[in-house]
Amino acid sequence: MQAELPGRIRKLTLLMTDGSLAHASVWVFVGLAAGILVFRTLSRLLFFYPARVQQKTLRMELLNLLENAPPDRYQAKSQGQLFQVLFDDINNLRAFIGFGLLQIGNLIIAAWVLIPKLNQTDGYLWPAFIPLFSSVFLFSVMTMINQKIFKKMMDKKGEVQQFIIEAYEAKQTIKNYHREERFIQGFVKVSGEELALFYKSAIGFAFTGPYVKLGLGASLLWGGLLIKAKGGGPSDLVFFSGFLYLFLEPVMFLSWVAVVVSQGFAAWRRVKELYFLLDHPTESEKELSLSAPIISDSLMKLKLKYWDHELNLDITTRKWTAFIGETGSGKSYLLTRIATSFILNGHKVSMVQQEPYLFNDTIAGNIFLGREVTAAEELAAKELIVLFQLDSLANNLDEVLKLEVGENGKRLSGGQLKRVALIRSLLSGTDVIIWDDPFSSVDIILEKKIVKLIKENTKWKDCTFILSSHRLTTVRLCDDIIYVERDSGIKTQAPLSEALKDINVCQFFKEQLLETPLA
Amino acid sequence: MSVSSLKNNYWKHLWLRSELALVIFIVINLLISAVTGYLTPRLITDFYQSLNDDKAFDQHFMWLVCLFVGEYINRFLFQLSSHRYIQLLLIDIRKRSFSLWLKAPFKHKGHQKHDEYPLGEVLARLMNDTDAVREVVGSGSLGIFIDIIFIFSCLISFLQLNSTTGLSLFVAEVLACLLLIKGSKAMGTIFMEVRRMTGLMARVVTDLTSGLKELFYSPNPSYASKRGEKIFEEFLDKQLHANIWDAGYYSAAESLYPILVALVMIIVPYAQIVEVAILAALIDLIQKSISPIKEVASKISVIQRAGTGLTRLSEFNESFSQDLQERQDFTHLNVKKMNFTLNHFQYEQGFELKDISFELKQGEILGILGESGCGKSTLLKLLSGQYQTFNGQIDIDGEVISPSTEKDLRNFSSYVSLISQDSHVFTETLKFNITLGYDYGFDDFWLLAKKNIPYLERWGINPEDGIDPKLFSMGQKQLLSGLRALFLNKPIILMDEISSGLDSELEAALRDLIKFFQSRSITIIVTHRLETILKSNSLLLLDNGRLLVQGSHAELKGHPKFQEFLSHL
Repeated sequence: MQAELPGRIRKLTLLMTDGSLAHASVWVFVGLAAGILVFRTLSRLLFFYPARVQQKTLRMELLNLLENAPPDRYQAKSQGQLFQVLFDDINNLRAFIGFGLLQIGNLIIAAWVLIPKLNQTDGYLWPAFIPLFSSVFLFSVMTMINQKIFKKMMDKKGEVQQFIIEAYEAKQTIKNYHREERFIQGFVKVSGEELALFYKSAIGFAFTGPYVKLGLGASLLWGGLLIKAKGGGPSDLVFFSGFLYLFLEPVMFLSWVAVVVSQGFAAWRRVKELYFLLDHPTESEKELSLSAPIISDSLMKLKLKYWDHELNLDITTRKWTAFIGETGSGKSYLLTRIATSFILNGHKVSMVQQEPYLFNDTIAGNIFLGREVTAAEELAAKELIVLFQLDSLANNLDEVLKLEVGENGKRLSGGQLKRVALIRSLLSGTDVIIWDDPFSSVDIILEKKIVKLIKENTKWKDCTFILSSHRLTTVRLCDDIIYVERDSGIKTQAPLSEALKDINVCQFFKEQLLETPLA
Repeated sequence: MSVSSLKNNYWKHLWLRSELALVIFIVINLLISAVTGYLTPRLITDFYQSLNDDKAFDQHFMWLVCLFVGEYINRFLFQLSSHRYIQLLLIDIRKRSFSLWLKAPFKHKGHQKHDEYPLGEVLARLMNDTDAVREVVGSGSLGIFIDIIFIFSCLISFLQLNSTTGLSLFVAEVLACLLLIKGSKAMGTIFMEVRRMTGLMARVVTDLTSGLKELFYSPNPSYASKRGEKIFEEFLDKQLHANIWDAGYYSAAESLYPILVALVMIIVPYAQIVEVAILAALIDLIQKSISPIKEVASKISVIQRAGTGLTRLSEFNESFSQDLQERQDFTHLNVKKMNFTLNHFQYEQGFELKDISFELKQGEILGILGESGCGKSTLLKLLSGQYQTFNGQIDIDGEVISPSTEKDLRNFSSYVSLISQDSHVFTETLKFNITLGYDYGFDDFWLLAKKNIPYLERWGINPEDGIDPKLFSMGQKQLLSGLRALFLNKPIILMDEISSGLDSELEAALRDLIKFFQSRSITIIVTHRLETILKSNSLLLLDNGRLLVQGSHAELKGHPKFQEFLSHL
């Protein structure tokens, strides 16, 4: 439709000279305007909408990969970087697909319609388009250069975000020690580095952006020369300039598209990087899948690397096994490896880490993690809430379940948060439950009560518990003891009664008990 | 720092007083652009006319070459300087927002500010919303100021060529611009919705990425994907809504060209235009001015988007600047005596603390004990002065502080340091983790600390060593937190002892730590250890938010509840 315009306008100028202007043709232009309005709106939506849908699909796919991948795989990426990929990078990709493709499509359609039209009558004018089109070439070059700068900028932006995340988590600490100014300085530094890269990327576009207008002017002048050589008049030049303006729009957009494309490229590289990490097992993972746990009716045999040693762990099924060892001996790491080994080899495990995370959801949401809940399960959850002394959080148990805990369980204390996580693992329905220092925030009286009730309940009679602790009181509640040390690997692996007679274990707890002369 | 609260007035945000020279330079660019704009239609008309005149043609050709090149250089400089300005502006806006946010206190009661801006929201405001301003540059939107000035000077110059058509075109284009601007305002509301949704999405994404590890180790039916899908879907809906308006709006701007041509056709018969060249220049003018108007249409929507970003930022800043007060740095205070009385404090959920008071002198230790849920942690939080206000009275060396006012409470918090395992460990050097960035006097401190806490030597860690927080045990975190408090020399030290997760070495280290600061400060410890109970000058035994009994170890010995407690330790 737009291609009709230059021809009609030429006719118009010619008619003018005759002085026989027909008023009826006004409606042609109005009709054209309406046509453009409808057609362009639809074509935009046609490109935008699929790009948006695709953005959502990509986000979903990444999120799904992330939640199912062993955390080792993306360990190299800070949370700020993960956020940057899921949030910003995919957004840039969307713009790339939406705008980039739309405008390139525009250009192709324009060329497809316009070239034959111009060829019909005025083919000699083609050379005059060179200056305008050369800007396309310039943009491509600039895009290639800027794409690298953008990649750097996005990496930096991930760092800025990581800084904010860390400052957010540390806000209490920072305030406690009155170090706000220092962190503001730190923020300004890292955010300034990102913005410096942003400026660097803008320099190139400052060169190329206004070039379109220069190219347009040059093309007009060249056209004038050609028309003059051919002996044409002003109406020919008007016709030519009409064509120029038709091409101008897509070319103008290219200047913007160049930015979008280079950002899109850079974003794509970052997204691909993450995909690659998530898709490839790490070395330690390969090791774990090579030596799968051997599970018989009464024993689970695991072979794991631990510092320089190879541990052969024998864990009695349906019993409680406690790991002991000094701080820094890597117990938490060992427990994580045990859990990972089970999961990678297809066994269901539920593990509560030393500092678990609670989602910004209700207590029920955090316990069941989006599972459909039966009335029996809800009842079980309520019983556990009472047992773990979380019932005081609200007026009644239903309200406790519906209580929003805030991001990272911020509205609960550290101990309460951990107890919710313990309840989650107890209700997860797995046969193996791993707890890293579970009772650190529970006093000794409650601890005894909890273990006693779990042991008595038939629900967990087939469940194997593996935990770590420093406290003799906790260890006494378990059936087997495994004492690990960094220097010598397994020092003792024995049932409780034997272990308590073992000289190594005795020595370990003797040191622990030094402080209590009354005991 | 200037805490000029950022009102909904964009110009206040956008104005950088320190960059006056740059602004003047940009204004000069705009003026030059006005001149080239004024010259363009005249020179082009001349060029059209001279197509049949060899001598004039060469001359006008050269004029136009100069004009186009000059315009290019001017625009290039304009882009460069305006980008620079935006860069400086972004640094400034981000800094202002970040420092307001960081300096603002926590609020847990009432409107729960802490929850109002969870991590994702803070990220969305500080990054995504400031990025809206950056988009203005990315899309070359600053060019529209040049474009607008350019069209208007074109039009004015055309007025002199033919007043009737010039005038009607002028009126039509101004009307079109006004309509587009008006339309863009309506779109602002829609963009705001998208932005709000972006913030919500950021919250979910940060929440989910924080807990990824949790999801791998707890069986669940794709919790993250499910929650993600829900918010992504909602976001998509809002975006589609905005897209429809966006596309329609921009297409309306595109259809202006034929409409204006139609207008010319209506006007021309009455304008007595006889020369084709003038008509050609007229059409050229329409074409030339259409693309800037289209630009104005699309770019105004970008600017509108930036505007919504700024509105959200000022809302964010405003909510923090209200309770911001400058606080002095009380690093070397001395407190000889402290009287503390808590009459009443109650959580929204109902739990209350009542009638607790004590008196402490420098060098003394107060132990707080009780079963889980007795309120001892709450008492400690209240004592830190950073949690929330309560009914009572604090007397520090005769200076009376009312903890029911936030201002007094904040002053009180400057005396206090809270040592806990919840203290944040930075992925930084040990030195940074102790000094948090101001390391004056650190070397002497470190020597002294090593002498008093032998564990530090055995730990084998150097101040310049980088720290991986993931490998830190709770005991080590508490020790680190204690070293921070020591380095700052706080007169009142609060400590939440951990009940487990400590091996004997760390146990000893923490005992050394307490010994180290005991003599020069007032120490209050929520305790789980017999050792601390024996060493304390006085003890508070809490039960269900009430003070059960209070006194020295010897005085409490006979109390049955105290006996029961001891038997479990």
